[in-house]
Amino acid sequence: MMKVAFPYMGDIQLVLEPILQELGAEVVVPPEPNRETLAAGVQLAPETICLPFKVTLGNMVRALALGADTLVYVTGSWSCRFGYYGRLQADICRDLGYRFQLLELRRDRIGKIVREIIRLSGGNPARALIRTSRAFRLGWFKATALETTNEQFRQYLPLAAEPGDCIRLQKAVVEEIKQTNNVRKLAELRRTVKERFSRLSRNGQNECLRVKLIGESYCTIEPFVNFDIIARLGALGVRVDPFLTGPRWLGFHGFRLNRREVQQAQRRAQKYWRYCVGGEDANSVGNLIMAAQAGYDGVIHIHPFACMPSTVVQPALAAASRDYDIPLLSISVDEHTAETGFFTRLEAFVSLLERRRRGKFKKGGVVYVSGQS
Amino acid sequence: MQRIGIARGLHSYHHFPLWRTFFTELGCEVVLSGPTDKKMVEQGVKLAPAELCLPVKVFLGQVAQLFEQADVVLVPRLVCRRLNGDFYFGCPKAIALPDLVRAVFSLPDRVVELVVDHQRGSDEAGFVRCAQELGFRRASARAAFASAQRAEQEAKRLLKQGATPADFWTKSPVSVRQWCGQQGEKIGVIGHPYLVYDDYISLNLLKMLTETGAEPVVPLVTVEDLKQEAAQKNALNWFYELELIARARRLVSDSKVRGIIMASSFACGTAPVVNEVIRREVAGGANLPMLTLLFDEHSAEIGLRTRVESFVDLLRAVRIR
Repeated sequence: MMKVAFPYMGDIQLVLEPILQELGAEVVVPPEPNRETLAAGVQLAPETICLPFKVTLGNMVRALALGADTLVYVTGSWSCRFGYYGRLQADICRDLGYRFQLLELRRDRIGKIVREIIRLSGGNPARALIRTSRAFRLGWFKATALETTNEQFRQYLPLAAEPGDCIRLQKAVVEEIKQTNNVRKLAELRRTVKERFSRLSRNGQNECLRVKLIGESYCTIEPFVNFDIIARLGALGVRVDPFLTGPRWLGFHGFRLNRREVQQAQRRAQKYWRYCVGGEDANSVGNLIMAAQAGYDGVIHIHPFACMPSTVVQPALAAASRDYDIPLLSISVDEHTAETGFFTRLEAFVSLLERRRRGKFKKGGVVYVSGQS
Repeated sequence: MQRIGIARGLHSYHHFPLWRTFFTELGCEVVLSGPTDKKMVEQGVKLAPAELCLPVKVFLGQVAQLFEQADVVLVPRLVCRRLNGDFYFGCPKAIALPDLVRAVFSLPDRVVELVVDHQRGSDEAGFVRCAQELGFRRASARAAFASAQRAEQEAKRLLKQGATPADFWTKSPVSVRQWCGQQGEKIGVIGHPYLVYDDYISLNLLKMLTETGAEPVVPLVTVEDLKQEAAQKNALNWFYELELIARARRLVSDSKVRGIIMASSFACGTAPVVNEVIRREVAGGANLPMLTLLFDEHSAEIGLRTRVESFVDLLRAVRIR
């Protein structure tokens, strides 16, 4: 049987794993990214490549060590380095002596992908079709259950009397989603999750600071590289809404769902950003503007160090944040970023937002883009 | 007469003869920015986000100078070009350059955007649209583009005869390389022209090589080479980086070349990928010594000289090839 591994971020493997299993493949999921993963990636990767490359490379090496024989990558002809991940990582892993098949998901290889899926069903196209539809149905229910859970989590965490309880509940529900492969049970879970979160005891506050998280997809989604910013700031009483989550990323980029939402963000960004070059640049600008219009208190832009689209978009973000009068903090992360330094800056930003809300600053506010004074 | 500023930086090294002729034929006065100097770098560093690569920072410094000397400033947006029916892209910074300049300077009315996007139209269409934005008629824009193309052909001929892109800044190019004709170890230099030929950014790397007694080799890459490169099974999707790969392939197949220097700027996004591809896929079995040099605004000449000299010394001491 084919043993598949794919680079994952955040919780997308919770959705992709059951899909691939239903298709008939065995999925090798390496341990969640941690320091060892990163160290392995940093050692093997080109020095100045972006952080997501290093983390996902570390992940893939660990997956190969666990016996994976097929690596699946999303690639494409575009101007961002993301398109080269598969090819370079495969080169590097082959140098380490691993033998595997590289499956690149791109437009011009759809024939090959379809052949692989049919092969997994024992060469029977009809059976493959049934299995594919069943797989994506399950994936859809898993994704929506995850989305609902995390939405509730983000909403209740800043208001919870004991943030720890809220975090534990979220972990428990996600684990249930992971274990359940029954569509009806997932639908049931999705229905009841709101009530489970609402039973948590509250801290008595009715409102909290709201911050929009924008930036490069991997940094927005993967808690290991953004130091679990949603839970950490949530425990401080700040609601953090990412513009992108794992399932949403899969929806946007994997299956081209919700194009209207993306177009809406890009239309708003038009004045500042006319061509999308990758790294969620136009989306970030658009979402910053939408956050300002929706009354958010501030925006945090997080991206890998020297990420091409995310650095070049910084002045445009700063211009939009001035025009729409919403504070912006732009932070880059790499393998040297220390958690303490990262949170010192976030806490300073949050206390500025608090003061701003209390009316200490009438107009204008903090625009801080790293490296600019 | 409208004065249009063209910065020396970035892709002017590729397209300056074309751009200059187009705008002079239209009846504009072309103002060329000065060569890179300390003030430009300082200004660029102050204006740009810290994590951008040095050539883009220098470009911003040059644009700042041009805003003082010209009415409008040309900022190209090099999105993608077609080769063998497929599209090859500029790097994100080249694609987003006008947006960057607008956001940094807040002078949107004085930025002239030249879009090269073969997905949407030919080169000519982009130039015509650019001229129309400046208030010129379609017919005169097309005529200007035709003579600009002739100028580009002429420039290509001169390049074949040994001129470098940096020779075209003056009207009558001097077609002699300062570092040509040296008899020494041939050392290939791979890097973007806006880095390698910018004496200030590259700290005179080419001259430095000749001073060690070696002969720097920067092979000329033609459109045919690029097409060949694009036809490879695993071609890169970056247009201007295909050129670097083609150059590397040429150097690797030249048995007289003793080593390769890969020069790139710090935080250049394409460099880690391109260098890795060259090292693993192009020069894989060639056993060719390689030196990777990173340049940024903190690079010091002495440190560079030490590394270059020791590289050349090593090549002399150990005859690998």
